[in-house]
Amino acid sequence: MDKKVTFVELVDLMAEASSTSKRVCELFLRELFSTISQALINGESVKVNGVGTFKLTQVKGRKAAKNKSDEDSSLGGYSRVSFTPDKSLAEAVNQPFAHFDTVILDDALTDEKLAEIDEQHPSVLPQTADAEETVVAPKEPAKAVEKKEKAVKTEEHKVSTAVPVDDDIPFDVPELSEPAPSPEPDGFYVPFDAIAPAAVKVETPKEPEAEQPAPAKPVNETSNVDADATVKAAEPDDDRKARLEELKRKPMLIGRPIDGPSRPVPKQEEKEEAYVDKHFYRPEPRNAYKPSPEQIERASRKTDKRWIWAALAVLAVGSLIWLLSRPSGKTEEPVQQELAVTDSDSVAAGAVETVEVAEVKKEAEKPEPAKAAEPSKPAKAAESKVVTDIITPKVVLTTLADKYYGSQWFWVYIYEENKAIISDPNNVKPGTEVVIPPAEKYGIDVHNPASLKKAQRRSWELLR
Amino acid sequence: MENKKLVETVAANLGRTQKDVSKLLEAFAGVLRTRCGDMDSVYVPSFGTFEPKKRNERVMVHPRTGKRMLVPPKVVLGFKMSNVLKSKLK
Repeated sequence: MDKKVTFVELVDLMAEASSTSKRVCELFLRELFSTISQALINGESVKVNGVGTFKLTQVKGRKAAKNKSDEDSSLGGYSRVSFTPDKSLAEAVNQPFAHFDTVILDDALTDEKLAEIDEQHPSVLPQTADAEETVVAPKEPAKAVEKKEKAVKTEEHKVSTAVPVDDDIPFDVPELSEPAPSPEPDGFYVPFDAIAPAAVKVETPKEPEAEQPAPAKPVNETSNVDADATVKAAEPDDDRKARLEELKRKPMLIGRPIDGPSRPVPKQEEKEEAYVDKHFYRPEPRNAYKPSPEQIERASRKTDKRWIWAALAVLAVGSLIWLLSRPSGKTEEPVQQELAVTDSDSVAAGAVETVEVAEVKKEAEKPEPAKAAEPSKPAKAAESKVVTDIITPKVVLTTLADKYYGSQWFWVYIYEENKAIISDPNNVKPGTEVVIPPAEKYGIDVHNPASLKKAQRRSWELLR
Repeated sequence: MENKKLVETVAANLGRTQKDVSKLLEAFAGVLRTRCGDMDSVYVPSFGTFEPKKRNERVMVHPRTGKRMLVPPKVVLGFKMSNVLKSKLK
Protein backbone atom coordinates (compact mmCIF):
# COMPACT_ATOMS: atom_id res chain seq x y z
CA MET A 1 0.00 0.00 0.00
CA ASP A 2 1.30 3.40 -0.98
CA LYS A 3 4.65 1.91 -1.78
CA LYS A 4 6.82 2.88 -4.67
CA VAL A 5 7.72 -0.13 -6.78
CA THR A 6 11.24 0.41 -8.02
CA PHE A 7 12.55 -0.78 -11.32
CA VAL A 8 14.39 -3.70 -9.73
CA GLU A 9 11.24 -4.85 -7.97
CA LEU A 10 9.26 -4.40 -11.15
CA VAL A 11 11.72 -6.58 -13.03
CA ASP A 12 11.53 -9.20 -10.29
CA LEU A 13 7.74 -9.22 -10.35
CA MET A 14 7.69 -9.40 -14.12
CA ALA A 15 10.15 -12.27 -14.21
CA GLU A 16 7.96 -14.10 -11.75
CA ALA A 17 4.79 -13.41 -13.70
CA SER A 18 6.20 -14.31 -17.11
CA SER A 19 8.44 -17.12 -15.84
CA THR A 20 11.43 -15.80 -17.75
CA SER A 21 14.78 -14.53 -16.61
CA LYS A 22 15.20 -11.13 -15.02
CA ARG A 23 17.70 -10.17 -17.67
CA VAL A 24 15.17 -10.68 -20.46
CA CYS A 25 12.55 -8.71 -18.56
CA GLU A 26 14.91 -5.84 -17.87
CA LEU A 27 16.04 -5.59 -21.47
CA PHE A 28 12.45 -5.80 -22.63
CA LEU A 29 11.26 -3.03 -20.30
CA ARG A 30 14.09 -0.73 -21.26
CA GLU A 31 13.49 -1.33 -24.93
CA LEU A 32 9.72 -0.97 -24.57
CA PHE A 33 9.86 2.37 -22.83
CA SER A 34 12.63 3.76 -24.99
CA THR A 35 10.55 2.94 -28.09
CA ILE A 36 7.47 4.48 -26.51
CA SER A 37 9.31 7.64 -25.58
CA GLN A 38 10.90 7.77 -29.01
CA ALA A 39 7.47 7.55 -30.60
CA LEU A 40 6.22 10.26 -28.27
CA ILE A 41 9.13 12.47 -29.21
CA ASN A 42 8.16 11.94 -32.84
CA GLY A 43 4.74 13.25 -31.95
CA GLU A 44 2.91 9.96 -32.19
CA SER A 45 0.49 8.65 -29.62
CA VAL A 46 1.17 5.14 -28.46
CA LYS A 47 -1.42 2.55 -27.55
CA VAL A 48 -0.29 -0.36 -25.44
CA ASN A 49 -2.74 -3.19 -24.94
CA GLY A 50 -3.52 -3.84 -21.31
CA VAL A 51 -1.78 -0.66 -20.20
CA GLY A 52 -3.31 2.30 -21.97
CA THR A 53 -2.68 5.11 -24.35
CA PHE A 54 0.11 7.64 -24.10
CA LYS A 55 -0.59 10.86 -25.87
CA LEU A 56 1.19 14.15 -26.18
CA THR A 57 -0.78 17.20 -25.15
CA GLN A 58 0.39 20.73 -25.57
CA VAL A 59 0.30 23.00 -22.57
CA LYS A 60 -0.06 26.55 -23.74
CA GLY A 61 2.24 29.21 -22.50
CA ARG A 62 0.61 31.68 -20.16
CA LYS A 63 1.29 34.78 -18.23
CA ALA A 64 2.37 34.20 -14.70
CA ALA A 65 0.34 35.67 -11.88
CA LYS A 66 1.06 39.33 -11.41
CA ASN A 67 4.11 39.94 -9.37
CA LYS A 68 5.45 43.16 -7.97
CA SER A 69 8.32 43.46 -10.36
CA ASP A 70 7.09 44.65 -13.75
CA GLU A 71 9.14 42.10 -15.62
CA ASP A 72 7.51 40.20 -18.39
CA SER A 73 6.72 36.97 -16.62
CA SER A 74 5.28 34.63 -19.18
CA LEU A 75 5.59 30.90 -18.81
CA GLY A 76 6.53 28.98 -21.87
CA GLY A 77 4.28 26.26 -23.19
CA TYR A 78 5.43 22.70 -23.18
CA SER A 79 4.17 19.32 -24.15
CA ARG A 80 3.31 16.72 -21.62
CA VAL A 81 2.34 13.10 -21.77
CA SER A 82 -1.24 12.33 -20.94
CA PHE A 83 -1.99 8.76 -20.08
CA THR A 84 -5.36 7.12 -20.39
CA PRO A 85 -5.39 3.74 -18.73
CA ASP A 86 -6.75 0.74 -20.56
CA LYS A 87 -10.25 -0.25 -19.53
CA SER A 88 -9.16 -3.46 -17.85
CA LEU A 89 -6.39 -1.67 -15.99
CA ALA A 90 -8.68 1.15 -14.89
CA GLU A 91 -11.23 -1.36 -13.62
CA ALA A 92 -8.59 -3.33 -11.76
CA VAL A 93 -7.35 -0.15 -10.10
CA ASN A 94 -10.86 0.99 -9.21
CA GLN A 95 -11.75 -2.41 -7.75
CA PRO A 96 -12.43 -1.15 -4.21
CA PHE A 97 -15.08 1.31 -5.44
CA ALA A 98 -16.38 -0.69 -8.38
CA HIS A 99 -19.77 -1.41 -6.80
CA PHE A 100 -20.69 2.26 -6.47
CA ASP A 101 -22.93 3.97 -8.97
CA THR A 102 -23.69 7.55 -9.62
CA VAL A 103 -26.85 8.45 -7.72
CA ILE A 104 -29.25 11.20 -8.72
CA LEU A 105 -29.98 13.38 -5.73
CA ASP A 106 -33.73 13.73 -5.97
CA ASP A 107 -34.64 13.09 -2.39
CA ALA A 108 -37.99 13.33 -0.55
CA LEU A 109 -37.05 16.64 0.95
CA THR A 110 -38.09 18.44 -2.21
CA ASP A 111 -41.74 17.49 -1.74
CA GLU A 112 -41.82 18.86 1.77
CA LYS A 113 -40.15 22.00 0.63
CA LEU A 114 -42.69 22.34 -2.11
CA ALA A 115 -45.49 21.84 0.37
CA GLU A 116 -44.05 24.47 2.60
CA ILE A 117 -43.73 26.85 -0.28
CA ASP A 118 -47.33 26.12 -1.24
CA GLU A 119 -48.51 26.86 2.26
CA GLN A 120 -46.55 30.05 2.54
CA HIS A 121 -47.36 31.39 -0.89
CA PRO A 122 -50.68 29.91 -2.03
CA SER A 123 -50.85 32.57 -4.72
CA VAL A 124 -47.94 31.07 -6.55
CA LEU A 125 -50.10 28.25 -7.80
CA PRO A 126 -48.61 28.05 -11.25
CA GLN A 127 -45.86 26.04 -9.63
CA THR A 128 -48.23 23.09 -9.72
CA ALA A 129 -46.95 22.65 -13.22
CA ASP A 130 -43.56 22.13 -11.67
CA ALA A 131 -45.15 19.80 -9.18
CA GLU A 132 -46.64 17.76 -11.97
CA GLU A 133 -43.26 17.57 -13.53
CA THR A 134 -41.82 16.39 -10.30
CA VAL A 135 -44.57 13.81 -10.08
CA VAL A 136 -43.62 12.55 -13.48
CA ALA A 137 -39.95 12.78 -12.88
CA PRO A 138 -39.63 10.63 -9.75
CA LYS A 139 -40.50 7.51 -11.72
CA GLU A 140 -36.95 7.09 -12.80
CA PRO A 141 -35.26 8.09 -9.61
CA ALA A 142 -37.78 6.01 -7.69
CA LYS A 143 -36.29 2.93 -9.24
CA ALA A 144 -32.87 4.11 -8.28
CA VAL A 145 -34.12 4.79 -4.79
CA GLU A 146 -35.65 1.35 -4.61
CA LYS A 147 -32.43 -0.13 -5.76
CA LYS A 148 -30.62 1.87 -3.18
CA GLU A 149 -32.99 0.70 -0.53
CA LYS A 150 -32.49 -2.86 -1.61
CA ALA A 151 -28.78 -2.41 -1.49
CA VAL A 152 -29.04 -0.85 1.91
CA LYS A 153 -31.29 -3.69 3.06
CA THR A 154 -28.89 -6.31 1.86
CA GLU A 155 -26.15 -4.48 3.60
CA GLU A 156 -28.27 -4.34 6.71
CA HIS A 157 -28.89 -8.05 6.41
CA LYS A 158 -25.23 -8.64 6.24
CA VAL A 159 -24.71 -6.44 9.20
CA SER A 160 -27.57 -8.05 11.11
CA THR A 161 -26.20 -11.49 10.44
CA ALA A 162 -22.83 -10.35 11.49
CA VAL A 163 -23.83 -8.30 14.50
CA PRO A 164 -25.67 -10.87 16.62
CA VAL A 165 -22.65 -13.14 16.57
CA ASP A 166 -20.55 -10.32 17.84
CA ASP A 167 -23.12 -9.57 20.47
CA ASP A 168 -23.35 -13.16 21.57
CA ILE A 169 -19.73 -13.68 22.21
CA PRO A 170 -19.19 -11.24 25.01
CA PHE A 171 -22.34 -12.42 26.76
CA ASP A 172 -21.72 -16.10 26.33
CA VAL A 173 -18.05 -16.32 26.89
CA PRO A 174 -18.13 -15.76 30.61
CA GLU A 175 -20.95 -18.32 30.96
CA LEU A 176 -19.17 -20.75 28.72
CA SER A 177 -15.82 -20.49 30.32
CA GLU A 178 -17.31 -21.56 33.64
CA PRO A 179 -19.58 -24.44 32.64
CA ALA A 180 -17.39 -25.42 29.71
CA PRO A 181 -16.48 -28.85 31.16
CA SER A 182 -20.20 -29.79 31.22
CA PRO A 183 -21.71 -28.66 27.92
CA GLU A 184 -25.46 -29.12 27.70
CA PRO A 185 -26.59 -31.49 24.98
CA ASP A 186 -29.59 -29.31 24.04
CA GLY A 187 -30.03 -28.08 20.47
CA PHE A 188 -30.37 -24.68 22.04
CA TYR A 189 -26.66 -24.28 22.33
CA VAL A 190 -25.77 -25.27 18.80
CA PRO A 191 -24.16 -21.90 18.08
CA PHE A 192 -22.05 -22.37 21.16
CA ASP A 193 -20.19 -25.16 19.48
CA ALA A 194 -19.10 -22.63 16.93
CA ILE A 195 -18.20 -20.18 19.61
CA ALA A 196 -16.63 -22.77 21.87
CA PRO A 197 -13.31 -22.79 20.03
CA ALA A 198 -13.16 -19.06 20.51
CA ALA A 199 -13.67 -19.47 24.22
CA VAL A 200 -11.05 -22.17 24.30
CA LYS A 201 -8.76 -19.92 22.38
CA VAL A 202 -9.34 -17.23 24.90
CA GLU A 203 -8.57 -19.59 27.70
CA THR A 204 -5.59 -21.35 26.25
CA PRO A 205 -3.23 -18.42 26.04
CA LYS A 206 -3.69 -17.84 29.74
CA GLU A 207 -2.47 -21.26 30.71
CA PRO A 208 0.89 -21.06 29.02
CA GLU A 209 1.27 -17.63 30.51
CA ALA A 210 0.65 -19.09 33.90
CA GLU A 211 3.00 -21.92 33.17
CA GLN A 212 5.76 -19.84 31.74
CA PRO A 213 6.62 -17.94 34.86
CA ALA A 214 6.76 -21.24 36.76
CA PRO A 215 9.67 -22.66 34.77
CA ALA A 216 11.19 -19.24 34.70
CA LYS A 217 11.59 -19.22 38.45
CA PRO A 218 13.68 -22.36 38.64
CA VAL A 219 15.92 -20.87 36.01
CA ASN A 220 16.40 -17.85 38.19
CA GLU A 221 17.08 -20.11 41.12
CA THR A 222 19.66 -22.06 39.24
CA SER A 223 21.23 -18.88 38.07
CA ASN A 224 21.24 -17.69 41.65
CA VAL A 225 22.89 -20.93 42.66
CA ASP A 226 25.44 -20.46 39.94
CA ALA A 227 25.94 -16.93 41.01
CA ASP A 228 26.44 -18.08 44.58
CA ALA A 229 28.98 -20.57 43.42
CA THR A 230 30.78 -17.92 41.46
CA VAL A 231 30.54 -15.62 44.43
CA LYS A 232 32.26 -18.23 46.56
CA ALA A 233 34.88 -18.67 43.89
CA ALA A 234 35.24 -14.95 43.41
CA GLU A 235 35.34 -14.01 47.08
CA PRO A 236 39.08 -14.37 47.48
CA ASP A 237 39.43 -12.08 44.47
CA ASP A 238 37.23 -9.42 45.97
CA ASP A 239 40.00 -7.78 47.94
CA ARG A 240 42.17 -7.60 44.89
CA LYS A 241 39.28 -6.18 42.93
CA ALA A 242 38.73 -3.53 45.51
CA ARG A 243 42.37 -2.57 45.32
CA LEU A 244 42.32 -2.47 41.57
CA GLU A 245 39.23 -0.36 41.65
CA GLU A 246 40.91 2.01 43.99
CA LEU A 247 43.89 2.11 41.72
CA LYS A 248 41.61 2.79 38.82
CA ARG A 249 39.75 5.52 40.63
CA LYS A 250 42.85 7.33 41.78
CA PRO A 251 44.22 7.89 38.32
CA MET A 252 40.76 8.96 37.30
CA LEU A 253 40.80 11.63 39.93
CA ILE A 254 44.14 12.83 38.71
CA GLY A 255 42.83 12.59 35.21
CA ARG A 256 45.73 10.46 34.02
CA PRO A 257 45.03 6.76 33.91
CA ILE A 258 48.16 4.66 34.17
CA ASP A 259 48.88 3.01 30.88
CA GLY A 260 50.16 -0.19 32.47
CA PRO A 261 47.07 -1.52 34.23
CA SER A 262 44.71 -0.17 31.60
CA ARG A 263 45.17 -3.31 29.49
CA PRO A 264 44.17 -5.96 31.96
CA VAL A 265 41.28 -3.78 33.07
CA PRO A 266 38.79 -4.82 30.39
CA LYS A 267 39.03 -8.47 31.43
CA GLN A 268 38.48 -7.50 35.02
CA GLU A 269 35.58 -5.40 33.93
CA GLU A 270 33.97 -8.28 32.08
CA LYS A 271 34.25 -10.43 35.16
CA GLU A 272 32.76 -7.70 37.22
CA GLU A 273 29.90 -7.26 34.80
CA ALA A 274 29.08 -10.94 34.91
CA TYR A 275 29.27 -10.85 38.66
CA VAL A 276 27.12 -7.76 38.81
CA ASP A 277 24.55 -9.11 36.42
CA LYS A 278 24.06 -12.21 38.48
CA HIS A 279 23.34 -10.14 41.53
CA PHE A 280 20.98 -7.75 39.77
CA TYR A 281 22.91 -4.94 41.25
CA ARG A 282 25.03 -2.41 39.51
CA PRO A 283 27.55 -0.52 41.64
CA GLU A 284 29.20 2.72 40.59
CA PRO A 285 32.55 1.19 39.48
CA ARG A 286 30.78 0.32 36.24
CA ASN A 287 31.01 3.97 35.34
CA ALA A 288 34.59 4.14 36.49
CA TYR A 289 35.89 2.42 33.39
CA LYS A 290 34.25 4.86 31.02
CA PRO A 291 37.15 6.45 29.17
CA SER A 292 37.71 9.87 30.60
CA PRO A 293 37.18 12.82 28.24
CA GLU A 294 40.92 13.32 28.20
CA GLN A 295 41.44 9.76 27.03
CA ILE A 296 38.92 10.22 24.27
CA GLU A 297 40.54 13.47 23.32
CA ARG A 298 43.93 11.90 23.25
CA ALA A 299 42.68 9.06 21.09
CA SER A 300 41.02 11.48 18.73
CA ARG A 301 44.17 13.57 18.68
CA LYS A 302 46.16 10.48 17.83
CA THR A 303 43.86 9.71 14.95
CA ASP A 304 43.95 13.36 14.00
CA LYS A 305 47.71 13.27 14.01
CA ARG A 306 47.65 10.17 11.89
CA TRP A 307 45.42 11.95 9.45
CA ILE A 308 47.69 14.93 9.42
CA TRP A 309 50.67 12.68 8.81
CA ALA A 310 48.84 10.91 6.02
CA ALA A 311 47.85 14.24 4.49
CA LEU A 312 51.42 15.48 4.79
CA ALA A 313 52.74 12.32 3.17
CA VAL A 314 50.24 12.69 0.33
CA LEU A 315 51.25 16.32 -0.07
CA ALA A 316 54.93 15.45 -0.09
CA VAL A 317 54.45 12.71 -2.67
CA GLY A 318 52.27 15.03 -4.74
CA SER A 319 54.80 17.84 -4.67
CA LEU A 320 57.60 15.40 -5.56
CA ILE A 321 55.65 14.13 -8.55
CA TRP A 322 54.83 17.69 -9.52
CA LEU A 323 58.45 18.72 -9.28
CA LEU A 324 59.55 15.72 -11.29
CA SER A 325 56.86 16.15 -13.86
CA ARG A 326 57.86 19.74 -14.51
CA PRO A 327 59.66 20.21 -17.81
CA SER A 328 62.81 18.17 -17.23
CA GLY A 329 65.01 20.49 -19.29
CA LYS A 330 64.76 23.35 -16.83
CA THR A 331 65.78 21.29 -13.86
CA GLU A 332 68.62 19.71 -15.74
CA GLU A 333 70.05 22.91 -17.13
CA PRO A 334 71.05 24.46 -13.84
CA VAL A 335 72.73 21.23 -12.86
CA GLN A 336 74.71 21.25 -16.06
CA GLN A 337 75.59 24.88 -15.54
CA GLU A 338 76.82 24.06 -12.10
CA LEU A 339 78.73 21.21 -13.56
CA ALA A 340 80.27 23.53 -16.11
CA VAL A 341 81.21 25.94 -13.38
CA THR A 342 82.70 23.21 -11.28
CA ASP A 343 84.49 21.91 -14.34
CA SER A 344 86.13 25.24 -15.06
CA ASP A 345 86.94 25.58 -11.39
CA SER A 346 88.43 22.16 -11.29
CA VAL A 347 90.52 22.83 -14.37
CA ALA A 348 91.83 25.91 -12.66
CA ALA A 349 92.27 24.41 -9.23
CA GLY A 350 93.79 21.04 -9.89
CA ALA A 351 93.37 17.31 -10.11
CA VAL A 352 92.24 16.77 -6.53
CA GLU A 353 88.99 18.54 -7.10
CA THR A 354 88.29 16.71 -10.33
CA VAL A 355 87.62 13.64 -8.25
CA GLU A 356 84.95 15.56 -6.41
CA VAL A 357 83.60 16.84 -9.69
CA ALA A 358 83.43 13.32 -10.96
CA GLU A 359 81.45 12.40 -7.91
CA VAL A 360 79.18 15.34 -8.45
CA LYS A 361 78.78 14.33 -12.06
CA LYS A 362 77.90 10.84 -11.02
CA GLU A 363 75.36 12.21 -8.61
CA ALA A 364 74.00 14.48 -11.24
CA GLU A 365 73.81 11.71 -13.79
CA LYS A 366 72.15 9.23 -11.51
CA PRO A 367 68.89 11.08 -10.99
CA GLU A 368 68.76 12.10 -14.64
CA PRO A 369 67.55 8.81 -16.05
CA ALA A 370 64.92 8.68 -13.34
CA LYS A 371 63.84 12.17 -14.22
CA ALA A 372 63.79 11.33 -17.88
CA ALA A 373 61.71 8.26 -17.29
CA GLU A 374 59.13 9.75 -14.95
CA PRO A 375 58.06 12.85 -16.83
CA SER A 376 57.31 10.71 -19.87
CA LYS A 377 54.36 9.10 -18.11
CA PRO A 378 52.49 12.29 -17.25
CA ALA A 379 53.32 13.55 -20.70
CA LYS A 380 51.62 10.52 -22.16
CA ALA A 381 48.69 11.04 -19.82
CA ALA A 382 48.52 14.61 -20.99
CA GLU A 383 48.53 13.49 -24.58
CA SER A 384 45.83 10.90 -24.06
CA LYS A 385 43.86 13.08 -21.69
CA VAL A 386 40.79 12.43 -23.75
CA VAL A 387 40.08 9.18 -22.00
CA THR A 388 37.34 7.17 -23.57
CA ASP A 389 35.59 4.02 -22.54
CA ILE A 390 32.99 1.84 -24.12
CA ILE A 391 29.64 1.09 -22.56
CA THR A 392 28.73 -2.58 -22.41
CA PRO A 393 25.74 -4.29 -20.85
CA LYS A 394 27.77 -4.67 -17.66
CA VAL A 395 29.65 -1.39 -17.77
CA VAL A 396 27.38 1.62 -17.39
CA LEU A 397 27.93 5.24 -16.41
CA THR A 398 27.98 4.55 -12.70
CA THR A 399 30.53 1.78 -12.98
CA LEU A 400 32.72 4.03 -15.12
CA ALA A 401 32.45 6.81 -12.57
CA ASP A 402 33.37 4.38 -9.85
CA LYS A 403 36.35 3.23 -11.89
CA TYR A 404 37.74 6.63 -12.80
CA TYR A 405 36.69 8.90 -9.96
CA GLY A 406 36.17 6.50 -7.10
CA SER A 407 32.49 7.08 -6.60
CA GLN A 408 29.48 6.15 -8.70
CA TRP A 409 27.83 9.48 -7.94
CA PHE A 410 30.11 11.23 -10.40
CA TRP A 411 28.36 9.56 -13.31
CA VAL A 412 26.51 12.84 -13.84
CA TYR A 413 29.66 14.49 -15.10
CA ILE A 414 30.35 11.72 -17.57
CA TYR A 415 26.77 12.10 -18.73
CA GLU A 416 27.11 15.85 -19.02
CA GLU A 417 30.28 15.48 -21.05
CA ASN A 418 28.54 13.09 -23.42
CA LYS A 419 25.11 14.62 -23.50
CA ALA A 420 25.25 14.75 -27.27
CA ILE A 421 25.65 10.98 -27.57
CA ILE A 422 23.64 9.79 -24.61
CA SER A 423 19.96 10.52 -24.83
CA ASP A 424 18.96 8.63 -21.73
CA PRO A 425 21.45 8.13 -18.89
CA ASN A 426 19.52 5.16 -17.62
CA ASN A 427 19.56 3.40 -20.91
CA VAL A 428 22.82 3.92 -22.73
CA LYS A 429 23.12 1.69 -25.76
CA PRO A 430 25.93 -0.84 -25.33
CA GLY A 431 28.85 -0.09 -27.60
CA THR A 432 28.74 3.69 -27.32
CA GLU A 433 32.12 5.25 -26.74
CA VAL A 434 32.05 7.68 -23.85
CA VAL A 435 34.52 10.46 -23.17
CA ILE A 436 35.68 10.50 -19.57
CA PRO A 437 36.31 14.13 -18.62
CA PRO A 438 39.36 14.97 -16.51
CA ALA A 439 38.50 15.16 -12.85
CA GLU A 440 39.59 18.82 -12.59
CA LYS A 441 37.07 19.98 -15.15
CA TYR A 442 34.10 19.46 -12.87
CA GLY A 443 35.97 19.62 -9.58
CA ILE A 444 35.58 15.93 -8.96
CA ASP A 445 37.11 14.83 -5.70
CA VAL A 446 36.02 11.70 -3.87
CA HIS A 447 37.48 12.89 -0.59
CA ASN A 448 35.63 16.14 -0.69
CA PRO A 449 32.14 15.64 0.71
CA ALA A 450 30.96 18.90 -0.85
CA SER A 451 31.84 17.72 -4.33
CA LEU A 452 30.20 14.37 -3.67
CA LYS A 453 27.07 16.07 -2.40
CA LYS A 454 26.93 18.28 -5.43
CA ALA A 455 27.13 15.28 -7.72
CA GLN A 456 24.38 13.54 -5.76
CA ARG A 457 22.11 16.54 -6.00
CA ARG A 458 22.72 16.77 -9.71
CA SER A 459 21.94 13.13 -10.24
CA TRP A 460 18.71 13.41 -8.26
CA GLU A 461 17.72 16.40 -10.28
CA LEU A 462 18.40 14.57 -13.49
CA LEU A 463 16.53 11.43 -12.58
CA ARG A 464 13.55 12.85 -10.78
CA MET B 1 1.52 3.88 -32.89
CA GLU B 2 -0.78 0.98 -32.38
CA ASN B 3 -0.03 -1.97 -30.19
CA LYS B 4 0.82 -4.19 -33.11
CA LYS B 5 3.45 -1.87 -34.49
CA LEU B 6 4.90 -1.32 -31.04
CA VAL B 7 5.28 -5.06 -30.55
CA GLU B 8 6.85 -5.35 -33.97
CA THR B 9 9.47 -2.69 -33.36
CA VAL B 10 10.32 -3.90 -29.89
CA ALA B 11 10.64 -7.47 -31.17
CA ALA B 12 12.89 -6.29 -34.00
CA ASN B 13 15.10 -4.29 -31.64
CA LEU B 14 15.39 -7.09 -29.12
CA GLY B 15 15.76 -9.85 -31.66
CA ARG B 16 12.89 -11.83 -30.20
CA THR B 17 9.68 -13.17 -31.66
CA GLN B 18 6.56 -11.05 -31.55
CA LYS B 19 4.86 -13.77 -29.55
CA ASP B 20 7.49 -13.49 -26.83
CA VAL B 21 7.24 -9.74 -26.75
CA SER B 22 3.46 -9.70 -26.51
CA LYS B 23 3.70 -12.25 -23.71
CA LEU B 24 6.14 -10.04 -21.83
CA LEU B 25 3.91 -7.05 -22.44
CA GLU B 26 1.01 -8.95 -20.97
CA ALA B 27 3.11 -9.83 -17.94
CA PHE B 28 3.98 -6.18 -17.47
CA ALA B 29 0.34 -5.19 -17.72
CA GLY B 30 -0.51 -7.85 -15.17
CA VAL B 31 2.11 -6.56 -12.75
CA LEU B 32 0.81 -3.04 -13.24
CA ARG B 33 -2.71 -4.23 -12.55
CA THR B 34 -1.87 -6.01 -9.33
CA ARG B 35 0.54 -3.43 -7.97
CA CYS B 36 -1.58 -0.40 -8.81
CA GLY B 37 -4.63 -2.29 -7.58
CA ASP B 38 -2.86 -2.36 -4.22
CA MET B 39 -2.37 1.42 -4.40
CA ASP B 40 1.35 1.06 -5.03
CA SER B 41 2.97 3.31 -7.57
CA VAL B 42 5.18 1.77 -10.23
CA TYR B 43 8.28 3.64 -11.26
CA VAL B 44 9.88 3.18 -14.65
CA PRO B 45 13.23 4.96 -14.83
CA SER B 46 13.58 7.78 -17.34
CA PHE B 47 9.96 7.37 -18.36
CA GLY B 48 7.64 8.08 -15.49
CA THR B 49 5.60 6.83 -12.60
CA PHE B 50 2.23 5.12 -12.69
CA GLU B 51 0.43 6.08 -9.55
CA PRO B 52 -3.13 5.37 -8.51
CA LYS B 53 -4.95 8.23 -6.85
CA LYS B 54 -8.22 8.34 -4.99
CA ARG B 55 -10.78 10.83 -6.16
CA ASN B 56 -13.28 11.81 -3.52
CA GLU B 57 -17.00 11.61 -4.03
CA ARG B 58 -18.62 14.81 -5.15
CA VAL B 59 -21.93 16.29 -6.13
CA MET B 60 -22.18 17.07 -9.79
CA VAL B 61 -24.88 19.00 -11.60
CA HIS B 62 -25.88 17.58 -14.91
CA PRO B 63 -25.33 20.40 -17.37
CA ARG B 64 -28.40 19.69 -19.47
CA THR B 65 -31.04 18.40 -17.09
CA GLY B 66 -29.79 20.40 -14.12
CA LYS B 67 -30.15 17.41 -11.82
CA ARG B 68 -27.79 17.02 -8.98
CA MET B 69 -25.92 13.77 -8.87
CA LEU B 70 -23.70 12.16 -6.32
CA VAL B 71 -20.63 10.84 -8.06
CA PRO B 72 -19.05 8.04 -6.03
CA PRO B 73 -15.41 8.01 -5.02
CA LYS B 74 -13.03 6.18 -7.30
CA VAL B 75 -9.40 5.33 -7.81
CA VAL B 76 -7.86 6.44 -11.06
CA LEU B 77 -4.48 5.51 -12.41
CA GLY B 78 -2.38 8.56 -13.12
CA PHE B 79 0.89 8.91 -14.90
CA LYS B 80 3.58 11.38 -14.09
CA MET B 81 6.36 11.67 -16.60
CA SER B 82 9.93 11.79 -15.44
CA ASN B 83 12.27 14.72 -15.80
CA VAL B 84 14.33 12.88 -18.37
CA LEU B 85 11.36 12.43 -20.67
CA LYS B 86 10.28 16.00 -20.01
CA SER B 87 13.63 17.39 -21.04
CA LYS B 88 13.63 15.18 -24.11
CA LEU B 89 10.22 16.42 -25.18
CA LYS B 90 11.25 20.03 -24.97
